[in-house]
Amino acid sequence: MQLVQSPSTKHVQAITVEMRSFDDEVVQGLQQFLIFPLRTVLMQCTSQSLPEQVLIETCQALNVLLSKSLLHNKAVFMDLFSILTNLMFFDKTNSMAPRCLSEEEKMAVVQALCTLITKSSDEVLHEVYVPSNIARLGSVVSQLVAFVSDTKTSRSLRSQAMDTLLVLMQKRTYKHKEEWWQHGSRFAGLLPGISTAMLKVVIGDSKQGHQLFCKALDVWTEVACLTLGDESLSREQNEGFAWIDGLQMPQRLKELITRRDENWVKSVLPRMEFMIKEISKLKKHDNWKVRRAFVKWGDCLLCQCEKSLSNCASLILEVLVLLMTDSYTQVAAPAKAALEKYRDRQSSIEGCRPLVEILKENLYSLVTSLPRRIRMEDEEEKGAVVGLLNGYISLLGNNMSALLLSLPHVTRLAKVLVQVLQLDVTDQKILEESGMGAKGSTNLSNFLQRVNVMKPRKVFVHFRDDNVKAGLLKACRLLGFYGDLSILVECFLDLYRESAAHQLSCVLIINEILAGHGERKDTVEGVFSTESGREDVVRMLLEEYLSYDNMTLCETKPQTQLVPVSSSSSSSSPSVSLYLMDDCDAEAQQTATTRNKAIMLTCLFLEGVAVCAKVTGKKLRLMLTDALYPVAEKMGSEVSAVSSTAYLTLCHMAEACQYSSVDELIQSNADYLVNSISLRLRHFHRHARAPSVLSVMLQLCTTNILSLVWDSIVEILETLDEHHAEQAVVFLPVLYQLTLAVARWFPVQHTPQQAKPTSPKAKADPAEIVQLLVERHRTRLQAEAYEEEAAAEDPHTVEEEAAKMAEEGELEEKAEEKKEPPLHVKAVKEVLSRTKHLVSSSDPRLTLLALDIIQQGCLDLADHQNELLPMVHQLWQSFKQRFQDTEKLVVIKAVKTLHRLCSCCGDFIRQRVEKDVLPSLKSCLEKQAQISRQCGSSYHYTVNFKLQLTLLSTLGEMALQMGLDGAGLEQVLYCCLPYLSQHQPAKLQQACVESVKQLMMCDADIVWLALSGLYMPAVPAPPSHHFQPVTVFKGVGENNEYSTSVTMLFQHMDSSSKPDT
Amino acid sequence: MAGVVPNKSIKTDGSKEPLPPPSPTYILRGAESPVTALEYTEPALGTLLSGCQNGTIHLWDLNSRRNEETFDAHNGKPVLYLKSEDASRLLMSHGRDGYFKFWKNVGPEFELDGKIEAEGDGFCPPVPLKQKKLTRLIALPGSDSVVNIFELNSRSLVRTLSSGASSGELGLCMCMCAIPNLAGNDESLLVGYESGKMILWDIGTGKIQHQAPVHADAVMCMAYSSPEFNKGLSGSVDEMLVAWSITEDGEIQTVNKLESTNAGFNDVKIRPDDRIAVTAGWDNNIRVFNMKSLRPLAILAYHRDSVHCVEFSENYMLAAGSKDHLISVWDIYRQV
Repeated sequence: MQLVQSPSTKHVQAITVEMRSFDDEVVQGLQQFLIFPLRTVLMQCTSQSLPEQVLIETCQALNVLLSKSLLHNKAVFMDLFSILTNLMFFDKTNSMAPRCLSEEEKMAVVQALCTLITKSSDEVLHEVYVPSNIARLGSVVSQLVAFVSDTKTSRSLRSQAMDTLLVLMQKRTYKHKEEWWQHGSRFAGLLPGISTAMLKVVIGDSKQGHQLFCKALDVWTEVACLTLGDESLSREQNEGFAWIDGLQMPQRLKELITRRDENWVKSVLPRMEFMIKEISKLKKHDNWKVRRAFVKWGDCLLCQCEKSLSNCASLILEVLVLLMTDSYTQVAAPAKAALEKYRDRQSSIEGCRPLVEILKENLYSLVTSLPRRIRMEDEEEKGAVVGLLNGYISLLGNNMSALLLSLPHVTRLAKVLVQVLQLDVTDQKILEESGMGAKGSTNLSNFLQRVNVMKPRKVFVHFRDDNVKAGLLKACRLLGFYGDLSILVECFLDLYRESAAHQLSCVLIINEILAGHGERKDTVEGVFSTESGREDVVRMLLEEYLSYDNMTLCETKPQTQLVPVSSSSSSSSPSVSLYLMDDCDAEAQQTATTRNKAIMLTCLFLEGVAVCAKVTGKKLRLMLTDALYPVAEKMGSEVSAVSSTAYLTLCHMAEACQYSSVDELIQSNADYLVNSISLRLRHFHRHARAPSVLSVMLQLCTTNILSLVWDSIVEILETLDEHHAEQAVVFLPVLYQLTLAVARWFPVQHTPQQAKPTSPKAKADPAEIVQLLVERHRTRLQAEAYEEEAAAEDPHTVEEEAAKMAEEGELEEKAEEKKEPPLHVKAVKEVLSRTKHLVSSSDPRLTLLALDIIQQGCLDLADHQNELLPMVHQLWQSFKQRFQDTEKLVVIKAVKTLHRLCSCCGDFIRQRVEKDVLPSLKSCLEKQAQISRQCGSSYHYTVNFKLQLTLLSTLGEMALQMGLDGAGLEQVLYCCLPYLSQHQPAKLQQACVESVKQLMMCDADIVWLALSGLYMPAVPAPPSHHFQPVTVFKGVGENNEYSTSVTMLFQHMDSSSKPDT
Repeated sequence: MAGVVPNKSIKTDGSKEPLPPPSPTYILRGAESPVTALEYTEPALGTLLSGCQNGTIHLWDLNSRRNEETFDAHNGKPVLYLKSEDASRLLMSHGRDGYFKFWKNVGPEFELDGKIEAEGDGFCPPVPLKQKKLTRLIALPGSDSVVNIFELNSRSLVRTLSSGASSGELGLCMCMCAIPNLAGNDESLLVGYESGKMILWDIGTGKIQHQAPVHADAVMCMAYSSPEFNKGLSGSVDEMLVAWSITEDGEIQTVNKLESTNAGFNDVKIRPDDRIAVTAGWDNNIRVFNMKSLRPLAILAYHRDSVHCVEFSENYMLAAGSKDHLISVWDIYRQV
């Protein structure tokens, strides 16, 4: 009771604490008792100035009290209500007030008011709304609105004021359900005030925070629904305002209640529509909670004010549709639910404009404005527009297909999409990235290492944002998902054919449509077009995409490809240098753009094929007959964008056909590839890449492919015969691959021939030796016979010779039992017989390749000596010239090839080597020995050094394999000797020493003699004193440049001969 | 400027570039021996049958273009004739082992369902014949110049066509074709002999209706159009291709002679619509002729060896089997 006498903070606080500790029931019981002192204090506040804190504390105490109890007493309620409202009016403007309330005080009062209203029973609360109190209600509301609209007031006060407004308006407070609609009229007069204030908050400073924003939106919605709600309006108008007229109250007061007749509605609507427009502008608010509030806003308005605000329905729908595509499900889900609710309600109510109609209309207008908006507006806005488009399409759902049946609509939509999705191909990068591609010869694994697989970036003319792109592509997919595939594809193909400018976007869109259609199979099965319809479309697209003209778009002109690259041995492909030249040109930009476009289009085609693959699945296997080859061929494109796209497409195809890998895809369908290749080889000038695909196949496939590719290989060989000058560059790699493949398929059993026991010291069975000698004699005779023939005959009569040889061969074979050589042997033979012309080509690259082929081919034939030896004989004429070649790389390769020949043919070629090869090699080695003496380290990187090294490291083994002896051996030996000098580079010395060691195995004596000529550690002791000591050697025991190597060799000789003797 | 000129010339060359020579639509690979006989099944099935020199029969799926099945039908002897019936459930084949065999399609495999022993082991493929009463007849070459007519249902010999002349005079029976009669259902049989003579046989009576020495050397192949169009073609070992017709009196009348550049024809077929005819030549080429004007239309060059047989499907796709083990399928003049 002290409180009443001396109201102080302390006392109030004490009460508050006390009350907090009580049970709700206890507080309820003591309510009357407790309210009284608080009320008194508040009363005092109104009349006299009490410390600020007291008012605040008192309000809080009241808060606590009311929150723990319910107020049933009308009188008390009204009393408190009026005191609190009075307090609220203490303001600067109010002269009656003893003082201005501070921010905190206002806050406390409003809060208390809010609690008071919430915690009063319906019965009691009804008092507020009785017509006699209408003036007070109005003033309270306007004061609250004033708080809200005063931006200087604190955020919490504004928020609290809005809460209070909500509480005042909420329907819970209507005691008599049948009368609640009357409230609409009570607030109608306040509608402009409230709504404008809220609008101000909503469109106000974004810094004020989303909570305030949401609340304001809520209040706005509430007041709009309350006053303009369809149900309340219709009832009001039906009952003809009888209740207002029937009220017993002064006319002045009656006028405060607005008659919501049609005129009133008409007068209010424009303003409301304006506000809806303003508010909907903010639908893309950054905060998702705000966007969620928008959903609620739209939902409520659509639900309750459908008729009154019907003009705004499409606008509100637009907001909802946009929010439906929101990235937050918390926003998107309720938006979707709201739209669905709306649609359901629409269908149940007759005479309403169906949602579909509105949506269609909105879609049309959006589509019409789309190009303009995409071109003009900022990126964010574009994203929203595209989101909206997607929203409409997905909302229309299955209705979309009906809509798309109308031709004008489809065409309009198609044109718009094509315009909007225009690709930008002016970027130089597309071209720059070319040249890193697979460059013709494709080796799958190499390919993957060389090209980092990437898709070309698509850049659009009208927008940059990825979200916009994703959105637009999604729109296309949605079209495919809902629409009729064949109609859509037809429509876009028409546009595609109509103008070259639209090709890119058309293909892009068709791909997306198809992809979208593919998504359908999992969800909606067979509702629209049948499976076969889809297959037809896919077939049609594949045919279009992979047509010859489309697939050769980004090829360099066939003419440039056929130009032999002979003049330059640089590895840059001719096409690349061609672009560079173009760039200098004045029209470069134009050309580059055209090229870019071609590249992009090709990539899009390939991507389209991948989509087709995805959509068709395993059925693609049947279409591989025609589809596999073009894609495989594109993988060899020198434009990296194209080749990597092609690779990705192959991956998709393999996946669709349920192959484990691209390799398996190619292996299992080698027959289709072969078919395509062989047919294309016939028109070689149009299909210059066919051979490279063939070589990829040879790499990947197994033996059984040989019979399949046989006729293609024959075709290649024949083409090669006809024009070997131009096309050898393309064909030789294939032939080389063939020889490699043969080696892989039929591993050679043959082991390189070892030196025959030439040393008479060797203890061998005499009969064996005799036999060996006879055999060797025979071989040698044979070799000599060929030699003579070759010498006697004109090189032009090679065929004759071959025929003769064949006869001989036949005779031999007959003796053994005639047998056709296996196919692979035949193939290698055919290949080798072609290379004999090419080995002498003027283009070193060709020569190198040809030598590679000879090397590999001889290895392949090693098990078939009867085939190999005549072949080697045929090749020899042109082969031996290679050792005099000016291009040292060719010589090196020739030496390596000779090495291989030696290992395969052994002494068959000995005489030839002695006669044709050794002299030139010898002069070469001797000449180079002078140069390499005491040369700098940079010499190690020269071709000559490599040649020397190759020669020195192979000569020994070759001599051993050929069974070189006598003069021949001596020749080899003497050209090695200079390299035993310590002035020679260490590597050469090393190689030479190794070779000489192998020469020792041929004939140790000759070697000893030669070495002794260089350096003699000591005068050899005669085996018996009957002999005179040899005195041929000069400078015995004198160390010279050779002593190190020679000593080493002598030691080796001793150690290896000891076990023998 | 110098750079521009060659560019231009390239462009004009490009535009004037003639159409590339026709290519086959696809090639069927996998036969291990020369292809000697071909037969399309009904288009709906999309299967092609081929017979080989080594006696095997291959079944090709034309959708996947792959060999579906292979079986040895004639003990390593060349297959001369293939005919599928009843939606390819039934297959008949004739080979140089001297047997006319019936095959039943059991699941994926074919099972032998009886055979007729023809006395001959010559080169002549049999020909199905129709008569008013006996609708399933087959003319099988017998020994020397004799032709035996069998009834297929009972598989019994119904008639033997023998000129009575010494066999040396006519030589082996080389090829046959049925000549339908405009009036009735009775078909006559035209037989070409090694001597170059062609004889028109009346099946009902077994008598010679007419005979004419059309070719100077063995008649290698012949084909006859519909009786309305009334034109036949026959080829021999020389360059000449002879067009003939059957007069109302039932006589063979030479209409025209076509000279081709290379000698030797293995097979000739007239498309069922009588618009074009194709020949299989020893020169590895397939030639297409206009039936109305009897002018050559195209040379289809693909094979590397003599073409043995040609065959039209119901939708006018052309298949050709060659000694090079390949079967080429052509999509040519289908719109004519």
